[in-house]
Amino acid sequence: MKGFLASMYVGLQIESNWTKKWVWLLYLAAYPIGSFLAVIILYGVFGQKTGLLPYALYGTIFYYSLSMVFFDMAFSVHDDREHYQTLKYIFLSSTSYRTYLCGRAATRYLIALAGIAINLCWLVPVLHLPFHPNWAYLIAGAVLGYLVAAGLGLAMASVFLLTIKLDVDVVDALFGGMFVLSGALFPPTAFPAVFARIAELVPMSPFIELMRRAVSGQILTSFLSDLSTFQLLNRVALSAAVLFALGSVLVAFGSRKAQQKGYIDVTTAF
Amino acid sequence: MKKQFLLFLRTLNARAYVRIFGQMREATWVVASVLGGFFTMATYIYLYRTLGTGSEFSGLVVLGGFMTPFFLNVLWGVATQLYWEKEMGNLELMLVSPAPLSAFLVGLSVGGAMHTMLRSLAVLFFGIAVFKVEFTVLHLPLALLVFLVTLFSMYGLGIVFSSLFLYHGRDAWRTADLVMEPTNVLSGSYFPARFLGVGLLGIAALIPTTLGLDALRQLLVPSFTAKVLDWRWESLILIGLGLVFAFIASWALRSVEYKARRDARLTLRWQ
Repeated sequence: MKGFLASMYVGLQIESNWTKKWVWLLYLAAYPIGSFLAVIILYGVFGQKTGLLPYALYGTIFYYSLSMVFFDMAFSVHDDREHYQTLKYIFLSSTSYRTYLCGRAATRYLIALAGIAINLCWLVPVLHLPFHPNWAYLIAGAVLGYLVAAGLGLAMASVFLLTIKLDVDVVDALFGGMFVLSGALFPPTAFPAVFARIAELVPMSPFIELMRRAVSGQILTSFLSDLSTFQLLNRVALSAAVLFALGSVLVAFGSRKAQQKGYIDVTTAF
Repeated sequence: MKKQFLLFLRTLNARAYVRIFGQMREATWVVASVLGGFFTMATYIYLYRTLGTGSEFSGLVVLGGFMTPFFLNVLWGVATQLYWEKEMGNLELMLVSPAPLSAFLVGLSVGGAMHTMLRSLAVLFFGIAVFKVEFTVLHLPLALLVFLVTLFSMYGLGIVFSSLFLYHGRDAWRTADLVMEPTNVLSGSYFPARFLGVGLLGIAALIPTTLGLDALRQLLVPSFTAKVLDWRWESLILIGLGLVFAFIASWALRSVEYKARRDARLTLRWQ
């Protein structure tokens, strides 16, 4: 736990100490806007009659919160090894590498959630979004969502540990693919039937739907509507358990192999 | 004078070579960036289908998907490049060499545009093949001309920002990260820029992609009617913007380099 908290502190320093505190707070509030600006414009101009704005907006911002964890975990391997050249010291410390990654990403997740909360303060009244939060589901969903994203992030980090030239574009591509399929931006009913079925199996889909219901207090579309909110929570919990366990195993394996191959302190300057 | 010009060309060639061939050495980089662009494009095409807009929007999105890698290359491959060179310790070597920094940046832009072209063409090909999008080739030579003018203006803007980022540290990287998505959205990559409204459009027009994409859509998408201005006017504005950016870049590079030398920030890493 001590190592986890210390890693969270490192994460906070990396995220915030590049500028003055007040500038960082503005940055924190402004950063998520990029994730939902297109949603507001497109649904505002073309989709007013569909009534899908709350679905898309909530979906996008919660997907954004997961992407921060996923991206941070994968990128930190590259960043620590190539850029700051501190990966070897992290491996020498008494904290396990998995704990370090989880701590850093937890900070990023909390920062993303804080940014979302700040933006919801104006989005809800201005866009008349349904807002009847169920705090129990919201908090449980947020914790489980972190574990889902951390599991995927750890798996990705293990790949980055074992490769020295892989670019973070790979993470963007993977997350881009999951973004299309997860139904974050539009109900997957627009897809051909096969993809619509796959959309239900994407690990992010139940999390995003759970958070939509937990915030809005409503079932906004027919996507996953055959599941009750409690069933959704169970599905997210199952995904979280499986993915986090898998990610932990993979990152332990990746760390061991990377040390054997001498990939911990290698720099390529590509 | 001739010697300086030759040095400029040799530096340009050397830096462009690294950008073009260095980026081809790892197949995953190319595949991942093409896939990333394709998924983003697919997202917006399916979104438009959900919203029930006309099929011509697929063409607009595919063209946006074609231009987006160039925008990303300008932001991450040109604007922030001097920051990365500083972080990797290469900047001091570049500055003590007789090679002019401006030639290095122009070479970076030329090389960046050429290697991005391959990725953009792949995104365009998959967009056309998978989503059955049709373009008119009636005005293809003009479209190519407009495209080159747009690149000139875009990379000019990239060089302006690179000089600003030369002075700054991690805040430069954070700024690029912050503006990436809103700028991409405001430039109308995935919808006609006219729908932004006059106020936002005024700001968005300063991003060369906005008018460049609008002009390309007029020339290549037969059913496109939501234009901002006639493509001829847009091309003239883009040339003007490109010249202004080139002038600002040349001035900014000199003054920021001087300021960075004076404040001892050229070798300052990890700040």
